[in-house]
Amino acid sequence: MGMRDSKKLLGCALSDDPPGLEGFVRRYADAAGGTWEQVEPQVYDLLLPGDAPGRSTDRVVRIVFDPEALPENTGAQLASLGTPLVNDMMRHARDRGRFARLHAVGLNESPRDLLNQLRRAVKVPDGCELGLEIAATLYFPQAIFWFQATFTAEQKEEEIIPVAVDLHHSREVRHLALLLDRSRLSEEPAGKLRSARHASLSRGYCLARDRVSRSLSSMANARERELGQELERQVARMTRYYADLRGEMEVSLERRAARAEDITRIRERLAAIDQEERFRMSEVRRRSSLRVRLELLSLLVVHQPKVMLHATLTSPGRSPGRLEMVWDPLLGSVEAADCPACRRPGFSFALDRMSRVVCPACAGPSAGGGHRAARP
Amino acid sequence: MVRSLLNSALLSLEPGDREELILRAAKPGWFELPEAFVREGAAGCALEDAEGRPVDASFDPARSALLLPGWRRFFNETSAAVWLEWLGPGRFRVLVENLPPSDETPADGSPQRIEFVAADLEILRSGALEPASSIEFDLALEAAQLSIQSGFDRLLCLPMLRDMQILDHQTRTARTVLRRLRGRALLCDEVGLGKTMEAGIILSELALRGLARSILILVPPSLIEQWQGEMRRKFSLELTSHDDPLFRERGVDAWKDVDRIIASFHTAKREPHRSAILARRWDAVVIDEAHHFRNRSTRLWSLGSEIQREFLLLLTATPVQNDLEELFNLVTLLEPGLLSTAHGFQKRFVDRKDRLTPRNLDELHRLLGEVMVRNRRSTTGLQFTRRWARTFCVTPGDRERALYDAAATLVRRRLGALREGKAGVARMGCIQLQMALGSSSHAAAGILETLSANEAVPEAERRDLESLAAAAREVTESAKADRLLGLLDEIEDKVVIFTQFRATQAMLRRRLGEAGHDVAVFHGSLTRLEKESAIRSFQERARILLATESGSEGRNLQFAHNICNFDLPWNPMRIEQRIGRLSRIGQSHDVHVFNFVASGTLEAAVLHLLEAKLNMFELVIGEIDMVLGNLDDDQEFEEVIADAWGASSGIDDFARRMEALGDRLQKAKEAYIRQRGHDEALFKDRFAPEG
Repeated sequence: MGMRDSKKLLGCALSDDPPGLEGFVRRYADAAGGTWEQVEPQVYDLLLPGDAPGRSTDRVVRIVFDPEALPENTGAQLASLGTPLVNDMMRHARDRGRFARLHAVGLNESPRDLLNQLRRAVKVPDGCELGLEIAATLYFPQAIFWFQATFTAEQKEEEIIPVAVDLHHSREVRHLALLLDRSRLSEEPAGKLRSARHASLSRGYCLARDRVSRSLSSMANARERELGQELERQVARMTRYYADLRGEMEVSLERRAARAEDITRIRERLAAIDQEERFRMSEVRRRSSLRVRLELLSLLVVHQPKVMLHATLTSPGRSPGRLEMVWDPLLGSVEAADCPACRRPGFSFALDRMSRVVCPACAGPSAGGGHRAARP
Repeated sequence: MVRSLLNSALLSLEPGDREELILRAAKPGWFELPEAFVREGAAGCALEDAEGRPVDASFDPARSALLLPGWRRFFNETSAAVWLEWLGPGRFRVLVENLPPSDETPADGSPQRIEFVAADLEILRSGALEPASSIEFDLALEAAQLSIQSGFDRLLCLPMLRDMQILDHQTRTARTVLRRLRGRALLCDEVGLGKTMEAGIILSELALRGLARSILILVPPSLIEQWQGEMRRKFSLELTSHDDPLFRERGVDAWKDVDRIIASFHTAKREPHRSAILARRWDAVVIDEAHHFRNRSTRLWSLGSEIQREFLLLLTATPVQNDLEELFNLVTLLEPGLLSTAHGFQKRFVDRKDRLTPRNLDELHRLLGEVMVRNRRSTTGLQFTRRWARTFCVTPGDRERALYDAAATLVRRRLGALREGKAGVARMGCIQLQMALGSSSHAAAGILETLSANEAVPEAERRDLESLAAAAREVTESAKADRLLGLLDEIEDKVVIFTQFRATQAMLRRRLGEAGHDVAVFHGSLTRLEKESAIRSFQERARILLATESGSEGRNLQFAHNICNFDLPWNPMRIEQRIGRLSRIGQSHDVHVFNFVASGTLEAAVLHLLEAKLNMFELVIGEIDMVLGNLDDDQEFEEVIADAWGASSGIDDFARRMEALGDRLQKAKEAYIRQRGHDEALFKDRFAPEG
């Protein structure tokens, strides 16, 4: 799920907005509490409030998006990427909008026949029975982190990588597109619900960062290898080249010396060659070193209602065990639950010796016979 | 039996249940909590910290909130989250989760190579205090997306380019140059494939990514305005010419103050400009018609090798003309040492008997592949149409003829006198007047009036000029205009009519209007919107566009395919540029070029030279420049014509001189054709950009 898709899902551009920078400036002016007026195509008068960047008092600024309009609009500023005004707006917009909380609304929080859905999803040993005691709708915070990765060597490349973490399960959410569906997000909650137990945002950040770092490391490895090979090749070539140059100069020097001619210029040239070689070698080495930087751009917390299922697993002659599962209305299915012993997520559970509900591997021989989906 | 509790507020708490306390800037110390927590607490609460020490707190059921007077103890610079945990009936604990260390080793144990930004955690902490609205959040992401510098696989500049059909081979070239060749390349496309556009895309991309703030473009003098127009119009890159009055005012300092400069070779290699250029480090340098830098012993080459720059583009359709060493010299500007030393290059790659025949061609190609991109017409899949030219040599009326002969004679004598250092009308004034005479009496009248008012001109000469100006004002007829009107009755399609002079344009506008033609008028003094309106009008409604060159640089008019040169610049490159507005990639019809000259004039002789000797109107677009490049003249073509006219005894003598010049041009053309053949044999179909 790329940046562009998640932006689209968040419903960024209004249908009448011009694309690109022009649309951004208009939306920025509106969001900052200012106003804009289109004087002619690609020429605007912009009024930004006093606390907006670059403004000390409320003042109308004329901006043009077409440089050909500059001569006809004295005092206008060119608005393009890289100009101070646009840079300031972007920085301000990024600073202002780094963190948001939204609520998922319009979801089906009353699924039908939960017990059978649960029994179809979860595998239990033969002879065991899965029951459902309580089903409660709670808010499960989903934290979506947008990271910016920057690779700097000879050139700079940046990439925006979104990662979503379910803070209840402390694991990655794969269905980002569904989660960011704008039609299901609201600044106001639909109702008052309690939050499910969840990790902190910092914990989520660490998980997300860890996930991104793994991908970045392999990308960085690959790039470093390429850079290393290129560096080797260039150093070898330059070493040969300068050796050849020096060789030719030295032959020339010997000939001149033999004829008792002045060799000062050749000596100077030789010194210049040495200096040039040192300079170019260090330049090539500098360009070949890779730095990777990861920075959090934005964070969105979506409070999504899900149904917490308090289930029991019973087996004849054994005490019943308790199991918590979650039904996700976005996916319309039961989520994998973590085994309390090994923390691995799964859909197969059994009773261990102490009647705890764990995964079959942790339950060991006491798990009983073959596993089946619980009988509807 | 399932007890479904849709209202989770009624769900009983269990030991370990916890709720994060979110600090609000508006109400520090007050924390909103779910009903279950408040209900438990309001019934009687004992709050302790992680060490079991009591904490002062109270629950307010009316506000569903917890009041924690000593909140500062828990919310500090190292706390990542603060939790309220339920321990049992009426018992709570406040837990502080500390920030993780910023240099935590990744879970997979890979060596730390990634630099994490400590400020990230600040976002987690401070962002929660005042979350943004969804609009503000969307805007922030949009700003990040707009300013992201992705890898060169995706060209960020493309959506911002205007008024051009971006071709596949051009974007592939730009990507190849930026990605694999690291911004240092020899662009050797065959003529007419848009090397200028490729350079523009590359520069635009570098500028957008903040990699090229200072840009220097070096071109032959005749290309300055064209480059300025194309870069401004299509790429929003404003280039300041060294001829610009503001630039000249600042003197040599302008070279370090102005960030985007275009200059001619002639200016750049002369002091003090040369030193000023070399004193500065440029982010990007572009050299068009780079074959002018092919000789290592020239000042130009030495300038090119000494310029400090990060990125360098050399544009030429013919990197090799007489000797393979020329290729070595160009490549060495880009990557010294790539082809070894000059001696080493000769030994390894050049046949001893023929300096144009390569050896070890595969190895040479492999090395050239590190700096060179070459697109060929045959491999781009583009369709190119032909050009057909027709000249109308009209007989002027008596008054037109008399005016022309008198004024042209004055110009000729004056140019001759200038060579002897005699005072009078300046050379530029003479050339302007001669060109105006070739355009129309109306244009000539204006120039004559201006010259006659110049007090620097001797009195006697001014009287002659005044008298000629008066005569010119009397001449209202135009044989060329009559013929043009006749031609327009023969053509049904849209027509672009070019003239150099506003006075001629005004006359033609009146004559065409009187004849009932729908005309759109275009010139450099129009506002931006007026220019757009004129082009749009021509595209939609008007059959005729009456244009001067000024202001039309970079305009695409290939939706028309008939062009009339009502007058002709003396420089074939400028004629080519006019035709190039229509005859370019995207033109689907053959282009018809109609030239108008008056018989027995200098202009007719020049046109004859260009047509008969050079066949210029039927050359492929871009080839004329190749041919002129082989002339080995340091002078601009107009200067050659002006000198020839000044040295002539009359029109017949001038015509003979034009014959001699024509022979030289013919040889230059033959040399160009030979070069083209050599290039094809040398480069074959290699060096195409990657897909």
